[in-house]
Amino acid sequence: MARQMPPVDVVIVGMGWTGGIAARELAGTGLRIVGLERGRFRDTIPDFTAPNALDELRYSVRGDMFQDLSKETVTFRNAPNETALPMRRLGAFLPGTGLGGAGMHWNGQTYRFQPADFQLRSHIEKRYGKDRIDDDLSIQDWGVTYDELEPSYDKFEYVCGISGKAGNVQGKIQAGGNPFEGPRQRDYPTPPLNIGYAGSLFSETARSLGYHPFPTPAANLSQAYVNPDGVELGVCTYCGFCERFGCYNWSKSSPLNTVLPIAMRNPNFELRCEAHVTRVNMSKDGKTATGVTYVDANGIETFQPAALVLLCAFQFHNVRLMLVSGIGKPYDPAKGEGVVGRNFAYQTVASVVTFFEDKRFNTFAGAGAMGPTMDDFNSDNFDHDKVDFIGGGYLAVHTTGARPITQVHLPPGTPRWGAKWKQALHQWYDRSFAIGCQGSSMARKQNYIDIDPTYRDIYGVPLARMTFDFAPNDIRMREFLIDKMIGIAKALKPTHMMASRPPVPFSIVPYQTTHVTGGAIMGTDPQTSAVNRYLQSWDVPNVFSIGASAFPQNAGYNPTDTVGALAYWSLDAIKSRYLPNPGKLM
Amino acid sequence: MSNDARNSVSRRKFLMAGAAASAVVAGAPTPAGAQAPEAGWQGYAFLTSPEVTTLNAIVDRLIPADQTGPGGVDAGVVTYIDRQLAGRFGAAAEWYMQGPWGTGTPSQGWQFALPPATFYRKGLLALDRWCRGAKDKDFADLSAEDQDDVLEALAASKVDLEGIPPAAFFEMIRENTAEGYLSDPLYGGNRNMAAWKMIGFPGATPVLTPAVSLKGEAYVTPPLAIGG
Repeated sequence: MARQMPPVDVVIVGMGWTGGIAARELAGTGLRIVGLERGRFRDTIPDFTAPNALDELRYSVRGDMFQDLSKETVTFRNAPNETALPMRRLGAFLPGTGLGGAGMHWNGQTYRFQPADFQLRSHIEKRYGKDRIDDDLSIQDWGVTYDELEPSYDKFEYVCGISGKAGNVQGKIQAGGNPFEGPRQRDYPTPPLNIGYAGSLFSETARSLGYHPFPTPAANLSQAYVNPDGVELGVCTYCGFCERFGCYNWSKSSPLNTVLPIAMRNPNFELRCEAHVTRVNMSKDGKTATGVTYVDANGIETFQPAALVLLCAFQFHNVRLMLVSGIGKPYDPAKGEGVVGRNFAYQTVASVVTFFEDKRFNTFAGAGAMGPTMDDFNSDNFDHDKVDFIGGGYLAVHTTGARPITQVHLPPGTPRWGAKWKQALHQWYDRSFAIGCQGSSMARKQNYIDIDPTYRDIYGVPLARMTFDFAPNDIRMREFLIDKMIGIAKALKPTHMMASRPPVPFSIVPYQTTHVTGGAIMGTDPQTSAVNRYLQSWDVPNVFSIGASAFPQNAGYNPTDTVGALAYWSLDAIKSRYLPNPGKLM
Repeated sequence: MSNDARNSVSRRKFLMAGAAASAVVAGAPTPAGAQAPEAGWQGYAFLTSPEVTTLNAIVDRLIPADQTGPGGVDAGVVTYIDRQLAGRFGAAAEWYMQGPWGTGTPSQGWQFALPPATFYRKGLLALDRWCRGAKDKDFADLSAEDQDDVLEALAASKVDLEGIPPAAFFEMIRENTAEGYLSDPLYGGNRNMAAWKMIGFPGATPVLTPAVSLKGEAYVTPPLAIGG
């Protein structure tokens, strides 16, 4: 029998970005709140001090801040007719663990999605006709519009102090910003980062070809900043240890240096780290959650009763907790029925590396979001009548560092070891940069999450099973984006160049991006979504599932700004409508 | 010669060579070819003397010494690998290691039940045994050209390592060698930050703001290691 804790009003599962935002937003309500984090407690001091935090082997190669797979992982297969096997070592994506979650080791690239992205299916059908969407795709509208989310985007960006240049303020296009972006109410809180020499070369060349580069909106701050809650952030020093690392200088906006300090001051908030939630407990009729069960640091199974359960864990875990707890009907791809696990999506990436024998770029001086982006081939910013796919992606040159074990590019044909490898390392280190694309990922009927029949975590809970391969639509889009990148690369007149594509079928092995999405998607129809447009479970109204798990499909951007905006959007509905009158919001 | 015949020959030779290697260990605390760490914890924590001899020879081919900078052995790569195998990496402490075990598709990635420490132990033994059968010598006693040929054959899965997947074994050694050469000296390799100096990487220098305003010329600053 599990140990029972005194009941509380709200339990939050996961203390990363969305859990931190929830704890901050509920701090003034007087409600008793417990926040559960599976990983350990940490803070900038002592966990991320310089120079200790600038350790490529410990953090980037051995993955000190990432999910410990010996405790739990996912199983994976490319298609429903294969047998899924466990992801035994980290590779394609890197979920975080510990206080602050993946919000501690992110790059800080903080893009808004396009207005059209939120109404993807209706937008495409209206502009291009229904037959433009491949039969295998199950894309749909989000149930929330860009205009509705704009105040939440603004709030997240001001809490973080994002460094950037607006392209569209209240409908007026601004020189130097992104002319394709949706209207924003005001400029970014801090000016853009330095884009570096590689970024300047790319920007000048892209502009000469008629494109519209702009500085990537960065959560690596260009100047010191005090956010609306009075929390101070520092100025980025371009140390080049950003993504996969914690920031030593309070310069990368994270839950630890934005929302958690305010949440932790609330006497009614209790944080419990090393508390691994294994399920949401349900009433006998299955219509109400009664709390959650977790295993604490001593291995004691514990029941935390709560009136409201907020699932704020990483995408896989939110979906798995719903599946193992019986919240919502599991998706069955054979019948096309059910919703939980449906529309799992990813991101479609590729790069073109350019080498220059006569230039040094000092790419070891970098930041996670340092550099220019262009949106000319993203979303529906260009005419899809002339191409054979839907969607798109941004092109960018991000100088994130030149850490020598994992970030070195050597020219095509270089051997992988021996004297020639060593000579190439000596000759070509810091004489290259990569143009990358971040392409959309269309949801697909045979890509989904369910419960693995064989493998379990160390707590005895079945693992999530991921069935995924790239949609043919997205592979065609990727080739289009690679062609565009090669066009710009050629105009840069490099000594050598080299296109790089992750393998098809999708492989769990090479790192691509941590942007896994969907599985508990939002919408306005309970037949096709697991949560409503406020991220409330259709079936169990005192459970909300907040995070990238709610994306119906993924856009051609990094997801964190939209994850943050959705969290504020959901919390606003919880505070203004759910708490005064608990029940279904739709 | 069939594979079976070769294996039976190599097994006999292996037994004799094993006895000889033991004698060397018993008679000489610092055997020829092994290198002692410069400071701190002395000796090897995981590797045996014959393993050190073989690994020294492999690492010497993967990153040879030349005029551009130190070789992998001089940089302390074997010490680095020893420390990694004695620690959490060697034990696969953060990998999912529950069965059942299947081979799977290439997309499904690593599916071997052995943790890296055991992988090395069995793989190095089998490699020397194969070399004795095929070339009549231990790997370390082959010419540099023959050693390169064997490493190429390993990478192409053309060496029988008796249950250890040869390409994955080679890839693990190659990766660990590059890690040891290029990681912070804290871990036993990259001695005196020589590899960082060779390429111009500033290491754990936290403030690099002046470098981002340069337009094509190198920003030169002495590297910083975590231990100073």
